[in-house]
Order: sequence, then structure tokens, then C-alpha cells
Amino acid sequence: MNMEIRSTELEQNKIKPRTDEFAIETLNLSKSFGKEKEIRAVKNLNLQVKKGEVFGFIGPNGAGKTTTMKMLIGLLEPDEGSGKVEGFDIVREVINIREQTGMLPEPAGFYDNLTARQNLRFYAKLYNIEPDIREKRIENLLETVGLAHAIEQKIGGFSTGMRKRFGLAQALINEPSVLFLDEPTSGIDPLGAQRMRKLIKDLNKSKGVTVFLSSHSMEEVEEICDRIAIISKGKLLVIGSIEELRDIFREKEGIHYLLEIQELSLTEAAKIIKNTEGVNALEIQDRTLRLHAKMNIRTEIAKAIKKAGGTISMFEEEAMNLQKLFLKIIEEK
Amino acid sequence: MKKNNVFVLAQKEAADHLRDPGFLVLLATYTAIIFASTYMYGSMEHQNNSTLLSSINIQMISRFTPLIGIVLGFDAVVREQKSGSLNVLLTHPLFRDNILAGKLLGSMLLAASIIIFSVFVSVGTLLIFFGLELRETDLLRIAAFTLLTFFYVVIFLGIAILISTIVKEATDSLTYNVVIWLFICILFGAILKTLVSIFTGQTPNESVLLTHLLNLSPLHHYGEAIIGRADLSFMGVNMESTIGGIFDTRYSLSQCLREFRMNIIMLILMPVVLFIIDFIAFLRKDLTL
Repeated sequence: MNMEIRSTELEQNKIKPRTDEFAIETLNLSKSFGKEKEIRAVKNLNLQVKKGEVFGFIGPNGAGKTTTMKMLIGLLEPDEGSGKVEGFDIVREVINIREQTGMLPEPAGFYDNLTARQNLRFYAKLYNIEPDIREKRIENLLETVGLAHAIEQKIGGFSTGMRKRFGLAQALINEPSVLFLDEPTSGIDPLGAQRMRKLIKDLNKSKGVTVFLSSHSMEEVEEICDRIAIISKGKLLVIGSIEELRDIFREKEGIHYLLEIQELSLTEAAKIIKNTEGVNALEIQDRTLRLHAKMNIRTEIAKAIKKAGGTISMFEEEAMNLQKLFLKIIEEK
Repeated sequence: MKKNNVFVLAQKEAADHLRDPGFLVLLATYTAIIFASTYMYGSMEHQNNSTLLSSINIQMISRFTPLIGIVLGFDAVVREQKSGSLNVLLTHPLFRDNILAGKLLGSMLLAASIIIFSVFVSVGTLLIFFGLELRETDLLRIAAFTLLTFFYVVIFLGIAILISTIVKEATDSLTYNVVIWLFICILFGAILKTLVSIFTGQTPNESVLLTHLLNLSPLHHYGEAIIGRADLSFMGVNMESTIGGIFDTRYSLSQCLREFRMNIIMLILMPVVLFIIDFIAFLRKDLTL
């Protein structure tokens, strides 16, 4: 099955009537810019994000990620199509959506002349949160994001990493069920990025917050996302878990395996494996055999080696990381 | 419109200004100007045995008070957009018009406070240093004067917010606002008189066209309402009125208000129209970065 058909299945055929299962749903969502709407930023986007999942939304610059997020939170009105966030319509029920969600946009600016507490107090007032609850929540949030020590410091003096973490705290001020994060780790050092990723994962696990995240860091997306969607030039290319995306390429391009075998010489083992049906190529690398097969032939190889009196001490698939998958998908499309 | 959020935003807008050292320095300078000019003018008028009302330095107030509106509004939108804080604010549960309404309300409240304070400074200076008598009827006229000054300042606030919505840099906004202030408060009358003289050959006093064109200036309406028919030559309002405004104690306040109702209506209408334009510009603008 080629990737085109597979991705189309994933994109189109799973669209179901609204259920409580999904935190975010879009149907043929489209948005164009320009005087004559000549720049199509998002084209017929169909997405379903399950409640409680961390969903990665990736694509090259100008792919339509931020435009999609802006439409989902009601900052931009779609030209065509529809969408729902937590069951609320993205055009008619924008305020309900914002009551239920939090967002860390990119770029995100805060009131530099105010302290962290004063900033959060201002945002909390927009949700009419009672003063005593509000103050406790502010302290807890800043504690959660590791900024308790800076509660009375002015935001203007914060480092980029601190500002990002503060941004996460402001997005959580209303205890949202859905969190939109637009490149949450851009511009911060690896340690800060790791800390941010841990925070997002913890939030998702401990509070069940659905996270819709866009990022250019494939490592980040691979580490924290349950499912991903790849978008390019406004068009959804693929959607699924990373393993599902790998399957697309397994079927299309085959699989690379690495083997270590005991009680048989590598040359003998190579001969046996070469004769197994489905093996395309084979090479010996030091004490390891690297082979390429059209399909999953793990069982067949294991049987053949066992029959020849050998033991497999290592049998690993050379899994394609998200970076490679992403580049391949973008190139192919 | 979420009313609560408008008040939250208004409160923040006013507090932001009051926390800003630059704004406080300007406020102190403005107060010093009002005090000094009232004192100087008062001492001159005192020698002529003038009343408290005629000793208030309208020329200075009409020239410098619009700066309050400009300072409150010139970076109201552009600053937030440039810093990205508008980007974050828009993700919270408020409508776009809430944001502008909050900003306008906050700035208007602050402008009202400053005007009331400056009137206190003016009247206080005249009472303390020259021992002028404050009559009961004067209080109402001073209240009317304060209100008209508020509308006059709010016109400049409306212009400042409009420019702040359109431009991309706060410095550009400040430049345009200062140019507009100079034009309206210092040069408009002189330029108009010169142009009318050149093109019609009439003297300014006999030109009907000039009278019509002067109606475009908020300073003209403010000046007429306060001190009567004004001479808007170089440097703004000059005190050469022939018909008194609300400070003319020969007539009752209600008579004065009736006489200058068109000026008063214009002073109220101008900010309303400007605010409508502000809202349209703000709602049409792509505010996200």
C-alpha cells in the first residue's frame, strides 16, 4: 500500500460524528490570506485529537501550523469547514473554548513591568477566579513550573527559558482541559527544553490535559507525543502514531535489521539468511549482520538460524527516527 | 462584551500608566506648568481686580492639556502588539472589543482624574496665593469647565489610539501625535487665516469660509465654549472674546450652555466618532503576530 492511500485513509475515513472521545475535531478546515485569497494557508484539514493525548503538529515553516492553532482558539475565522474544541464551535463559541483551553503562543509577550504574580493575577481576573483561590493557584503554578523563587520578580528580568515556563503557567491559570503550545521550547537551551518537556508530560499524565503541540524539534515530538500530524503547504500529509508512520515506510521501503549471532560464524549465518525469502540485501559490519527485508521476516530468520544450530543474541530493527520520517514524508509529497 | 473583563483591563491600563516613571515625570511637569502658568496669569489678573474664573489660564490649559490624551493613548495598542502581550491576551476569554473598551475606559478614567487634579491645582493656586473669592455659582461653572476639558482631552485620546492602532512603531505614533497636536493647538488658526486671506482676498474677520473651516478644530469649539468667540491666531486660543463662554458671569450658566450648545455638541460628538473609528480600525486589524 503506498503512502498516499494510507495517509488518505488516515485523514479522511476516520472522520466520525462528534463524540466525547475527541478534544479537537476539524472538518475540511480551510483558511486563505491575501486580497484575493490567493495564499492558501490551510486546505481542507481534517483532524481528530483524542482527549488526554499529547498531539504533535509538525511541518516546515509556513506549513499552516500556527494558522490552524489560531483558528482552533478563535483568533482567526476559517474561510471554509468547521471545527470543535471540547465540543464548542470554533466560530460561534470562541469564548467557551478559551474558558476551557490555555495557549502559549509564539511569540508570547507578557507585561514586563509587572511581577510574575501580578501578571498571573491579571490573567486570573479575566476568568473571575475568587481572590483566595487565585492567589493559591498562582503560587502552585509558579511552583509547578519552577518559578516559585521568582514570584515577586518582574517578568522583564526573566531569561528566555523562564519566560517560556512562565508562559506555560499563564496558559494553565484557568486549569484548562486542552493546552495549545506553539513551539514551547524554541529559543531555549537543551536543559531548559528538557525541563519544559518533562513539565508537559507531567501535566498530561497527572491532570489528563490534552496537549496540542507544534514544534520544529522532532526529538521533542518523538519524546512526548502520542500521535502526530505532518502538515505541509496547508495540507495534511499524514496522521497517526510514530509507529503507524513507520509502518507506512516499512510497507513502502522495507525494514533494516541488525543481528548478532552466537555459535555460527557470520559468513555461515549470512548464507542462511540470504536464502530466506524476502531478504533484499545483507552486509557484515564487524560482529553484526545488517540486512534489508521487504517485510517483517523476523520469525522466518529466527527459525532458519535455529535450524542451523545458531543462537540469536541480538535482533533489532533499525527504526527510522521521526526526523528521517519527517524528511521522507515532506520530500515525497 | 464581557463587562467584567472590560473593567479588569481598564484597571490594568490605568495602573500601568501610574507605574510608568515616564508618565509620572510628565504628570509632574504638567502640574508644574499648570501651577506656574496659573500663578503668573493670576498675579497679572489680580492687579486688574479680576475674578477667580477670569484668572484661570485657559490659553495654557487649551494648549497643553491635549498632551494628556496623547500620552495616555499613543502607544496603547502598538506597544502591546510589538511586545507580543496582545498575542497572549487574545488567547484568554475576551472579545477584541473588550480590549479596546478597557483601554479607552482606563485612559479616560485617568484623564478625568488628571484634569480634576489640575483644576484643583489651578483653583487652589488662585485661592491660596491671591485670596480670590470662590462663589457658589463659580463651582458649577468650574465643574462644566472640567467636563468640557475632559471631552477636549478625550478627542486627542481618540486620535492617539487610532494612530496607535494603525502604525507599527510606538515612536512613529508619538511623532504623528505630536505633529497633530502642534497643528491643532498651535498652528491651525494661523494657517487657516493665511490660506483664506490668500485664496479669497478677505480679511479673517469677514470670511464666512474661515468660520466654517474653524469648526473642524476641537480647539475652536473648546475655546468658544469656555471663553466665547475666540481669536485662533498663532499659538492657539487668545483671550480676545467678544461673547463670553461659560466663564462669562454676566449670563447664567444655562444661558451660556444654550448659547454654545453647538460647540458643546461638537466636543461630545468628536470623541464618539473617533471612538467608533478606533473600534473599526482595531477590529479590522490583524493583531496577532
